[in-house]
Amino acid sequence: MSESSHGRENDDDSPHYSPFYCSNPSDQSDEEPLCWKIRKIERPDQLSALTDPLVLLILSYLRMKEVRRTAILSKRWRLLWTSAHNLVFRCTGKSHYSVTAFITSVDDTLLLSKPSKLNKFSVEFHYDKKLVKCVNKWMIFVHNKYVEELELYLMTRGSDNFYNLPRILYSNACFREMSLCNCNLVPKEGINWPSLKVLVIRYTELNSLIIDALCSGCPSLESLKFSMCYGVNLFKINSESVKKLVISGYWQQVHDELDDDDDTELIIDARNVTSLEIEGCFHKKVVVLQNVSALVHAKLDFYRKTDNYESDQSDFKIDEDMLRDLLELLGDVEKLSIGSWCLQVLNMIETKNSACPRMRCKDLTLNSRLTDKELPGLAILLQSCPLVEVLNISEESPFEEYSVGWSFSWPTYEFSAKKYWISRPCWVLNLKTLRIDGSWIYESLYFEYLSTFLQAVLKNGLVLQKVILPSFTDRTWIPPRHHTRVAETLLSLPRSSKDAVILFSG
Amino acid sequence: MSSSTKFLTLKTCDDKKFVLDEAIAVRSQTIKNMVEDDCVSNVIPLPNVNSKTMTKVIEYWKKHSEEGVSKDVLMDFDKAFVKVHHSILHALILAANFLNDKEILDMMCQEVADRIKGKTPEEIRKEFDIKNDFTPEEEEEIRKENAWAFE
Repeated sequence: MSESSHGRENDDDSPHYSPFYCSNPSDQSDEEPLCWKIRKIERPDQLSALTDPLVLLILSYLRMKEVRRTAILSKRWRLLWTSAHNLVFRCTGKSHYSVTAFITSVDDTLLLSKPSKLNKFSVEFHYDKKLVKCVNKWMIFVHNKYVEELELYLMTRGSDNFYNLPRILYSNACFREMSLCNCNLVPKEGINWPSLKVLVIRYTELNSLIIDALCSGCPSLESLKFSMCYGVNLFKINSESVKKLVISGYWQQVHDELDDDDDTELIIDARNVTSLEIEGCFHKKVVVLQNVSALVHAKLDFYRKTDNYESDQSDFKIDEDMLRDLLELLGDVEKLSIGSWCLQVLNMIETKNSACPRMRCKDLTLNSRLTDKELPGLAILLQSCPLVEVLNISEESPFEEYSVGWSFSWPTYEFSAKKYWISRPCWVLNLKTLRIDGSWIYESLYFEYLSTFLQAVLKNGLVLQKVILPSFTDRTWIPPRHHTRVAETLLSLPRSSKDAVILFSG
Repeated sequence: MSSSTKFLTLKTCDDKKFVLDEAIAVRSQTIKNMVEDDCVSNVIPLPNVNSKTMTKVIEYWKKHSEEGVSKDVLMDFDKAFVKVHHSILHALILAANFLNDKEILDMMCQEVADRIKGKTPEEIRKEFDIKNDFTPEEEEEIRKENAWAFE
């Protein structure tokens, strides 16, 4: 940027610094070394020269500890932190000393905070019941400062060490986003969060009254996520507005006796939801869907975990039946995402020659690296989804990889043999785009499986337009010689569709 | 609007002209307002933006308006886009602020924040060329006031 436009910017917006420019004796004297030197010293650096709103925007991306550290940079920065609109506090230390110091600093910051209205208040620390008064005080601050985004991540030890959200917060028109962890909701007089759009609840005991209160008290709520919650067997989302629902795992308490058959079903009832994601570990819970005809997008990236696979083959049957029922209800969704565990269950369905329901999905995503444990599942899935136009195979899901019946010996297949794919009945007839993300596919272990799959896709895909594979970027640690070989192999495969191209991008 | 492509001419402070599809240019709320209020004659002057910066902005707009670009490609693009010298970053912040493009502004401010993150005050001063105008006594006082932050 030119010199003159700097000056203009500063004159307009930052009166603090204009004197440096005005007092400059003359512009012609630029050649004079001394003047140049003075000017250079007195000219504020580019960062400090930004207007307050812009510097505060930069600070809004930092945690409060780092924001307060800027006080020492120069006089310009001395008290800027007191105007910060996003107050984000984190403390990972567990010791009494570090928690106490943390609380003092939060109190101190809140005391000196200048804005009458704040965007965000976020704390994460090791909570103990004894600290209830401190947190309650902060919540009054949250209320008084019209905070729009509240994050309360309390890490706790022991099962009774949770925090109850105080009464003052259940009726609040400012909240737009809220994320709670280990915070129980006790809405004695209902909930009234008319502006709330996004809500995430983690590690919290729920009951049907709380879920009802949330659904009826948040008329603007669009996105709702329950992560590792417990205490309910029914997530009945009786809301007009909630379009996205995520159920991420179910918390199994140590003392839980889950042998009772009535308790093992977990029903998700979501009549207006268009996007549903089920992910994480559900222990012995059997996931059941109800009223999901509005769904357009569904993701099944979860797993069950039981101890009796070894002794009791009936658990396999439960997995199979559950997944078949789920897929049957998801027959009309347009976009479907399937994770590794579900693919493995499909594999079992395949080995028993039982049928997988027909599905009309057009966009299919697999959150898994494909190995011999998942490939047969993929085969049966593709046969069941004849309308698929876009197939994405993405990086593995963020969840720990968990195998179905880890001690169970699989019937051996020759998945890598091209016979396996070519001998399948017709599939991918409507496929237009196949996209594979992640350079892992070039590792020889995966590539062996994938190249035969790709060969079959190119052969079967009559209307295939694009196969998009990751480029050989620096993220790949595979030697260039291998790149050439991979590329040559892929490009030499016969294609049934004249329009089919193989792209190496992304 | 979408039936026929309309073009706008943008003129930067160093008198360079950029001809741009209106659908792309209105990523700038400032330009959008001008278009909607019918204040656009032939050339839209951008007195606060120079041509070098505008080239970067347009590069970003075009990439993010492309059809069928995957998220990963955009992420890689953005990552490379912010890897620039401080002076360009600074110019882009001012330009995005003037053009009222929240997306670019947020991304650039995030990048500056990332460059502050994890550094000691001395390192931040060095990185951004900030002059310490405190006396040692004042500095000690501020350190005490914000003791927790310096732990």
